[in-house]
Amino acid sequence: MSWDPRTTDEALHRAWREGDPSAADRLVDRYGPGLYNFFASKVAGEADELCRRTLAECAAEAGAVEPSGSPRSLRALLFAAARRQLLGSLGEPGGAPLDPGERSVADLVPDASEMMAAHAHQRRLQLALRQLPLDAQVALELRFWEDLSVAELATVLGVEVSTVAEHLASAQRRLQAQLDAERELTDFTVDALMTEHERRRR
Amino acid sequence: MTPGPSLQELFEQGRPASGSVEIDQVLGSLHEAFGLEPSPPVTVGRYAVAGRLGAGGLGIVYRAFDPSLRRFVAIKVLKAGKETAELDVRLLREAQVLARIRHPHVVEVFDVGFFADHGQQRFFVAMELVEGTDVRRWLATGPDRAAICEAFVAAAQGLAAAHDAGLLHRDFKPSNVLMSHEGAVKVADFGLAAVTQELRAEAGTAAWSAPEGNATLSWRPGGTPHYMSPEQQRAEPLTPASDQYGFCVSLYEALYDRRPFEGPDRDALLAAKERGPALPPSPLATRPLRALLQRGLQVRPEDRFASMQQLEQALRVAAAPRRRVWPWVAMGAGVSVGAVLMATAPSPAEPSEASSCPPPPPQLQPATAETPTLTSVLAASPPLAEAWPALAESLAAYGDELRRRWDGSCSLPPPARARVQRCLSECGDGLGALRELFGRGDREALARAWTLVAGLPDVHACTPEPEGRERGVVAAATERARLLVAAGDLEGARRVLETLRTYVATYAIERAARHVEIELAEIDAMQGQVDAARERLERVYFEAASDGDTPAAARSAVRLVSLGQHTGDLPAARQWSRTAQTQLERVQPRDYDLEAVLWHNLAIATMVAGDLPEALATIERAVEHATAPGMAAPLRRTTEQARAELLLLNGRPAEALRIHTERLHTRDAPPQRDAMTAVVDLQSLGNTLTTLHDLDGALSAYREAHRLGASVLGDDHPHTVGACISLAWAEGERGDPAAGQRRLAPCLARMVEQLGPDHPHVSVARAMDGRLASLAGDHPDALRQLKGAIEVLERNFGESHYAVGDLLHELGRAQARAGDPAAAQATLHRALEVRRAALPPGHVNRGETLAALGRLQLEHGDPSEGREHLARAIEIFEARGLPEAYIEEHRAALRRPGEQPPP
Repeated sequence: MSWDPRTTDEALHRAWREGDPSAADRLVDRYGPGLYNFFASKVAGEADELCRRTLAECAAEAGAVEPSGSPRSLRALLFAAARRQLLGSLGEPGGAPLDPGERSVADLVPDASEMMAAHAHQRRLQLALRQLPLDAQVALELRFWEDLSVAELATVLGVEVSTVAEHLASAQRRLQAQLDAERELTDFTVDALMTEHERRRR
Repeated sequence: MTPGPSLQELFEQGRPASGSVEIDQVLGSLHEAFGLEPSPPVTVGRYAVAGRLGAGGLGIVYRAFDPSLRRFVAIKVLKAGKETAELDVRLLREAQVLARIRHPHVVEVFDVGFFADHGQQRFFVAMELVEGTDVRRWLATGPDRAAICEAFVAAAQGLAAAHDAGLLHRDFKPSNVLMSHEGAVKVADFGLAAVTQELRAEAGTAAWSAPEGNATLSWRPGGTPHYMSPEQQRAEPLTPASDQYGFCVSLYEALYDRRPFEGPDRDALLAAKERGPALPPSPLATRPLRALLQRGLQVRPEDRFASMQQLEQALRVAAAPRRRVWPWVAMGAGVSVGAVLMATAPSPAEPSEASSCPPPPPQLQPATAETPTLTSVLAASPPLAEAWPALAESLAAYGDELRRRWDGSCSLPPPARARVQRCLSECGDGLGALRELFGRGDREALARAWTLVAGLPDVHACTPEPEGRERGVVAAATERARLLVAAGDLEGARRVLETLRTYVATYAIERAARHVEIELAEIDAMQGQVDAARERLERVYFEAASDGDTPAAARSAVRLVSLGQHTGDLPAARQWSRTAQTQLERVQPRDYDLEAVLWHNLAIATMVAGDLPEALATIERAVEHATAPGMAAPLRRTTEQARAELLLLNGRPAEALRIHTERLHTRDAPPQRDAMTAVVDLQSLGNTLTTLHDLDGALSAYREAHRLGASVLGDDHPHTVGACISLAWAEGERGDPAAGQRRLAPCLARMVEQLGPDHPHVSVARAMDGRLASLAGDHPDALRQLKGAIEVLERNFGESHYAVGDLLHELGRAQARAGDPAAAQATLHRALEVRRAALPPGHVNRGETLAALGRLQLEHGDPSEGREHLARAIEIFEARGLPEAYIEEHRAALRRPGEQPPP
């Protein structure tokens, strides 16, 4: 069945739940890249698998999905699931739960060679982001790149809506501090192709 | 806070791409998993992406299908970026250098190019697909020291090959060394990091700063910091020694299970490297290995090894077990068999059964090979009885070793334990087969006992690795087949090989399958099915050659040479030897065993065809290879033996004798020498001494040969019959010719029975009989025998063969003794012609004929020509080291009456 591109997420999700796999195709097209990028910068080697698991979780989502912007929008549920998968994948050996408010990707995956973006401007930001606590990174990325609302972010992070603003502000401060920092960043490798020319703004 | 782009702008700039090959590929698999529509194929250039293999610093590696060549390859798509023209050229150049390297331990590069990915130009490299794992993951499975060293030696060879081609790796680390399912080790990602380094150096920025000029985030070019050499960390120029550093860091990790240098940042890391590594003793890191690491991890490149080759050598030496507990190496029995270059086979996944350790199977239990049958055989043959205790002890020790390893395997986890135990069972089967052979009193087996014992499967091959080099099952089965062949059970051997072929086919190991085919061809040949053998070998050859499987191509070509030799087809043998040579040159590391076998077989073929000097030159090559250090003793011996024979045939008996005394120790009884070998050696020694006119020596050699042959091989064995004839002849020569003839008659009869009346060997034997008859005075009989023999040989070999020359010489002498000097001279003239044509100048036998003719001519013919001939003969004898007394006889004849002999 071919879908009107304006079809809402919740409609697609409903169709999918009711057994129409072509709806899933549309959702994959819509959110696949964003989902992939969510993982790729943090756990590149498993991005494939984690995307699949995230979608599987969504497929199993029993309750009704609300429109975009609401706490139970597809986006919120999707990225909430993605965050869970991410934490599971980065988890401490021995199964101890990791604290996303404290630990950062830089702590957990010191060797970032596989995940470094190609372009310099992307890289600078990426390097700074990965120093932040996981949840701070997630919050910023989803805010700026996926346009998630405050309510949606609350669902993803598993916190009260009223605290989201503060979370975001704090994350931004920390990011700025990283960007300003003098010290060199360590423990990564960069083997991509780049020249001075790439430093131009896009 | 400094003015700069707002976070909003920063995030906009930094937004990741929403379309790329990687994303397409993931979307494709998600569509497949959840949706309905097939996604359009993701292509990179002409290649169709079929799955993801992994990611590295440079880009993601995919498994892709090449529709043009219809094969799967690995495609590495380098990260997107805006390439400048310089970048293109540089990348291409690096890829070109890489493509020049063809080495078993370097991942081969097939293709490079650019393709459009969502509006961006990206660079890809198409390479050999290595399905399996990488060394980093393999190390996590806990391989043992020998396996680690083996893998690292292979990687070192790959690195060395690249250095030879002028390429540095620059980013050597365990995850860059791939390991196929079959255990082949291949170094990947050469030089690709070089591009970035060069660019940065040119751009003059070691640190990259933010657009606004705040030097905040920066990083160093290329390489993974832990593996980087100090000079690389300092962005100094790199040398091959820099790769050594990364190699040694990797090796350190493999042996110690931790990194040699740690630090919270790059400076601390560099400082740690400058302090040097800690090298405590540890189970895996033996002293020689620690010394190697010490050197390879020196801060200054000039303090490390002089080259990667040197490091590899040192690693090989360091890895060798200190005490050779087990002297036996898997090797084939028999002259025409080369070393087994087994491809490795993975073991089927064993279900983990009950955790209790099963007891050793019956064939591993202590047992004796001695049976009543064997006892009686030993009783009848003193030489065998003498050798038996040592043999029995060897068998017992082998069994003990198997049992000891079986018990040791109980501490392994079930899958590994099962692998080791299955391998040990196979070895035990081999032991059982050998015990049975001896127990039956099989004389051929007993005569080659030590060779067969040396052919027992190598217990060291029974290792627990799941991936990597598990040679056990395949090698053990092959050895068992060879034992069956030795026992004469060709059909049994064929069955074992066919079962093995099914096993390797199940696990899709092309290379092992080819070696099994080669063994089967051997059995075909032994059963007289020469055409089937040739067909099989040719098929293996062409498949292997087109597949780049040089070991199998080389082995099959060498077998085709020996096949040509056996069928007397010298042109085919020569042609295949050229092919084999080409293939052997490509085999890495050089297989000296196989090269020795090649030259040996070709030498025999050439000898049989009558080109003696060529045959000698060829066998010298074989000896050169076979006497390289570390070569298996039986092969060395065989080629030396052949060389002695060929020296003799080329008329250089003194040199042949030297080999007998110095290399073959024919007269002594070295321990662990097969009776069979001894008989052949003694016969050869006897012939040499005969040529040197040391009849007493020859006699005792023939006597010993015959004694051994009769008591070990039996009276009817061809070797015994040959020795019998030689002995009879020598006795007749030395003492009573008529008695000699009487002794010779029954041996000759047996030979005729076995070979038929027109066989060349029979003719030679008849000629010997004729000579004795001549000495005994029975001239008509002598002449008849000799003429008849000459006729047969001429028919078989043509008129200009050296054997014909030999007999013509004897005929001439016999005619002289019979009182017909004219006929004698004519015959000797003819003999001289033939010998001049068939033998190289300076050959002892040319001297003999010259002397015989000369002597006759002095009295009955043209004396001046006679003197010339005699003088020339004496020259030859002197050059060839014949005994003084003998030469003096001829000199005396040359002296005019009244001349005094020299003081």
